[in-house]
Amino acid sequence: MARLVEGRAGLTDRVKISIADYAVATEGLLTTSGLGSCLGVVIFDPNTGVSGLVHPMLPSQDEGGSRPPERFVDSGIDLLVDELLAAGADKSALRAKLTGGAAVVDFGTDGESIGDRNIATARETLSSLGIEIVGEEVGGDCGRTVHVDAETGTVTVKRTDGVETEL
Amino acid sequence: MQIDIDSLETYNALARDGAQSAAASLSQLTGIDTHVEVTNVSLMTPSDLEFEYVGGEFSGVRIELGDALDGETLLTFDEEARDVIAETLAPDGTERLQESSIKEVGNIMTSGFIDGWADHLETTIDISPPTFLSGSGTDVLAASAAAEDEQVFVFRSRVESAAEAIDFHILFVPERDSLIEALGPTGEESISFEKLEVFNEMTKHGAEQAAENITTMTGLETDVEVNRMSFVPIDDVPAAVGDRRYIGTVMEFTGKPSGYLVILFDHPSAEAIVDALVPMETDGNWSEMEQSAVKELGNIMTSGFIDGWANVLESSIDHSPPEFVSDMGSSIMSPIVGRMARTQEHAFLLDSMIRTDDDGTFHCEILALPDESELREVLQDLLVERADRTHVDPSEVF
Repeated sequence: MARLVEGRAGLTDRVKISIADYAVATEGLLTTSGLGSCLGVVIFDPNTGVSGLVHPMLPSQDEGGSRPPERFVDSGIDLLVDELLAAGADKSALRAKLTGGAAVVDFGTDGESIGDRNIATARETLSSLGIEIVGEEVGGDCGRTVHVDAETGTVTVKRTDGVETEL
Repeated sequence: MQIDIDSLETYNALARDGAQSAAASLSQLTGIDTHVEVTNVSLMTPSDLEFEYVGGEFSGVRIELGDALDGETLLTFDEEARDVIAETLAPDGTERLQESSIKEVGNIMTSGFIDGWADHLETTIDISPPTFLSGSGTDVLAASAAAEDEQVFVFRSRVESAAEAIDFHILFVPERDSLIEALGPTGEESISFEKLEVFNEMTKHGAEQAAENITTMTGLETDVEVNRMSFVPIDDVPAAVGDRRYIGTVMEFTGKPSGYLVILFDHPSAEAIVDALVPMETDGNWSEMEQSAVKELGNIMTSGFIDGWANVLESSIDHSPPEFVSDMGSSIMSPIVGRMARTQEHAFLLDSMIRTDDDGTFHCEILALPDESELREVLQDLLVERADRTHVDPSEVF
């Protein structure tokens, strides 16, 4: 569900993104919370000042057939890039920041956790699109809340253990 | 009386669209951007409904529906939302003027909510003039709903704004027969309403057993306050649990059905449990000993809960050792939902809330997420007359 926030001041300058959801904006804040094994993938164009945030849950759309693209890291990133270009971003200027991918629950039997696989898929997908990852706060075992300043692409990550990082 | 689960999905989607339409109306009227956090359809007793409105003051409107779909909708704003709306639409207005602004906004939003249902049913739905309501708990709840003890379907949407706290809830309680008629003809995959009721009752007994286990272990007097079975789009499950911080355990169960059981205590409750179970001073940092106390309690609560299911379903259900968790509710749910989302689009979320009788300071949520298709299968085979066999002998558990 894309919501482009443009030129609206005051109370509307903040957009909350749920799981399997994304938004693109040129100003204000994009926020998402409750990032456990899910990823918060931020892609932005620092020159035109447009940013996008997608909150996917699973690595690859192969696992889900015809399901919503925003739910998966690979198809979610593709979708976000399309929306950013439609909002005026320049493809060669796009940069990415990755957050999330924690192992909040240790299932023990899985081998690689969903969080780890999400991170690996994001790196692969972004690399294949030629988008450089310029910041990361991923892995570990804590949930995260993420705020993105849409104009600058600055990302603030708050972990539930109290650690706050700016990317 | 059969329920077609697939058409329940359709109606849940209509409720979500309706909530989005109501949110859009609010944004147009006030300039505040709002966002539908979660929509689900729950089966619950009317007496559990009043807990929707506990813990704060609410204002809004009640509108009765007629014709193609009988029932009522309650659209309520929390206190902050009411103030923001009243100040935006009736600045410096009298209380009466502010009340009528809430009524007007509520009326417009409810119309938006209902339109989608009417379109889907290709008919009109009559709506009554709005009745203003305010207060908490039973003050808000419709008297007619509170009086009966028959389980009802409740469509619930929670809408939030990121910038300002103008959260609102829409509840739609259709009359049961009217909803079933609207859901249309049922196919082979349908489940009898009675079996859903029995399963919900059975889960309540499981939660009561788990509450008793808390009391036995810790001496804290507890009771099951709310019990409901919700049918939730899989992506909405973490938001349904919310961003509140919890301490608890996650267990995977295997058998028919398989799934996950998540037991979450808020921080003061987890501390009370650890105080009761660990005989020495603790520093509140969840040491190994404190974690194992929480896990031990989780283990015993799970046994009480799951064994009740197994007895009624005549199946064998095992569970993994509990895994300790401490995080936001939504973060805890995300890897579980990630695993389930590989094979299902909707989840049956069985949610029981355990509180202390007197002051309500103790708060524990038991969330069971059985595999959807396996649950459908076991419900098909469920013999309603076994419904009373949920009792588990504590000596088998301890």
